[in-house]
Amino acid sequence: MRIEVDYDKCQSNAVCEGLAPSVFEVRDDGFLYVINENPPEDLHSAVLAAQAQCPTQAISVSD
Amino acid sequence: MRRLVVVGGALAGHRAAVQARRLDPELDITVLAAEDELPYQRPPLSKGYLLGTVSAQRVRLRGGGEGYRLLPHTPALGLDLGKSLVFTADQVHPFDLLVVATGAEPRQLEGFPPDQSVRYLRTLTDATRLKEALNSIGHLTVIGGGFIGAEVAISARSQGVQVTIVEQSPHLFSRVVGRGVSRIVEDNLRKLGVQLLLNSTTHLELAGKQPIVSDGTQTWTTDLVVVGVGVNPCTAWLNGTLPLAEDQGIHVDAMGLVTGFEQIGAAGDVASWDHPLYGRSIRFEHFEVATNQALHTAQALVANRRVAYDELPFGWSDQGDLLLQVIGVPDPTLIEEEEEVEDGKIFLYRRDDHLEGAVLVNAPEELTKLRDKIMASLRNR
Ligand SMILES: Cc1cc2nc3c(=O)[nH]c(=O)nc-3n(C[C@H](O)[C@H](O)[C@H](O)COP(=O)(O)OP(=O)(O)OC[C@H]3O[C@@H](n4cnc5c(N)ncnc54)[C@H](O)[C@@H]3O)c2cc1C
Repeated sequence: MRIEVDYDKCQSNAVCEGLAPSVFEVRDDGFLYVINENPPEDLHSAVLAAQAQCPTQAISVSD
Repeated sequence: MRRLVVVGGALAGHRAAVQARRLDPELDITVLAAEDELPYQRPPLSKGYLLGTVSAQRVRLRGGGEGYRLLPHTPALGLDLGKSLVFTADQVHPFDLLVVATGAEPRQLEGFPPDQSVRYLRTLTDATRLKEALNSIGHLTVIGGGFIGAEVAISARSQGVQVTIVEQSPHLFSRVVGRGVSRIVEDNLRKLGVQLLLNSTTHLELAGKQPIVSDGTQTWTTDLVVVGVGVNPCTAWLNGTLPLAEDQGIHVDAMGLVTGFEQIGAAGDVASWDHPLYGRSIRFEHFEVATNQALHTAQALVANRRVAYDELPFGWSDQGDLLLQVIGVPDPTLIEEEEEVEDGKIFLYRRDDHLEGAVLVNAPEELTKLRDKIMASLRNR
């Protein structure tokens, strides 16, 4: 699984961080960082939930 | 060397320039921007930025001004199609390829000229001034019950400001969504202590330090008026050189090229694109649409790769604890169906049995499913 964030679309709502905190992190500077772009299998469902629930639809996931 | 000129240095303009650079490292790219700013996101301006939770640094787009020549504070003043030139105050800019991404600007309400006590909100400067003002006022009057007005009202409320929203229609958001959604939004605003005057038109009785506003039945003093009555696409500078659609946006085909032109594209709030799934040209005022259209336009112009933009338009609005997401075209004249989901509600809009759009209220987990459903329904038409 490969995660891509369209940073222009991202508004740092941190919904993704809530669902998959070991993958997404909104830091003190207010920007989102993907801290694990190729997450292990046990995190896939959390990442897919983050993709689906991102309020601004900024996350895409490919195999 | 081929020259690309992009007019408008905000979301769609920046995105088109970045994409053009990716596709052609040799291209000469100039972005003419009216504002004196690096490209930034507008959505926080009525939300987190006003509240102070989103910094001026955070609203910037990443990589703004990199990979292209950005000329800030340099509005385009005219277009010469015969000579392929864009005019600015003291220069001419020849182009081989042109992207128009001039966005939209607030519609001015008659009788409410912008000044110290009457504000319009579009730019970072507008927002910074409004933010300062909210710190020191007791009462705010918002004229126009649309997304931005309601967001400003909520931001002001949460800073302890008394707020009155005046809307001429019987419902808020009545231009863009159906009754059911309006009702939820209205209830939410009332719960937050915002006073709503619906079916009401106002005039300014007295401008100045303490403006007095009247809607014919009542008169009140306020400290500040914010007007949010919609936007007009910024096309005046074109002086009729490019074709406009019925909705006054520049008429663009499904790939991103201005109809009748091979070297000119337009994207974002200024553009009215032919949408293959809806069978008509539509101008959107959604952030996500501008980001995506910009890529299609750049690709069609720079790489001659013509891919129709046939995605479903998507937009959102934060109304305090309510997250509203709009997918497709939830035309308020269509029949609205309401469905309860886990923590929220969804509203479906149909035309002759076909789903055309939906609004999700606190139901982001339903979005993917709904998008697929609307897509399938429109494709089968
Ligand atoms: C306060 C606010 C909140 C918003 N919130 C949301 C939201 O929550 N969700 C959502 O989906 N959308 C939201 N939007 C809408 C979204 O921001 C727009 O859809 C988006 O900005 C469109 O991008 P654009 O690049 O097409 O146009 P714009 O962002 O309008 O940029 C156009 C740029 O072109 C410049 N320009 C104009 N004329 C000229 C000229 N002649 N020469 C050179 N430059 C020129 C302008 O100064 C401007 O900088 C919001 C908008 C505002 C104002």
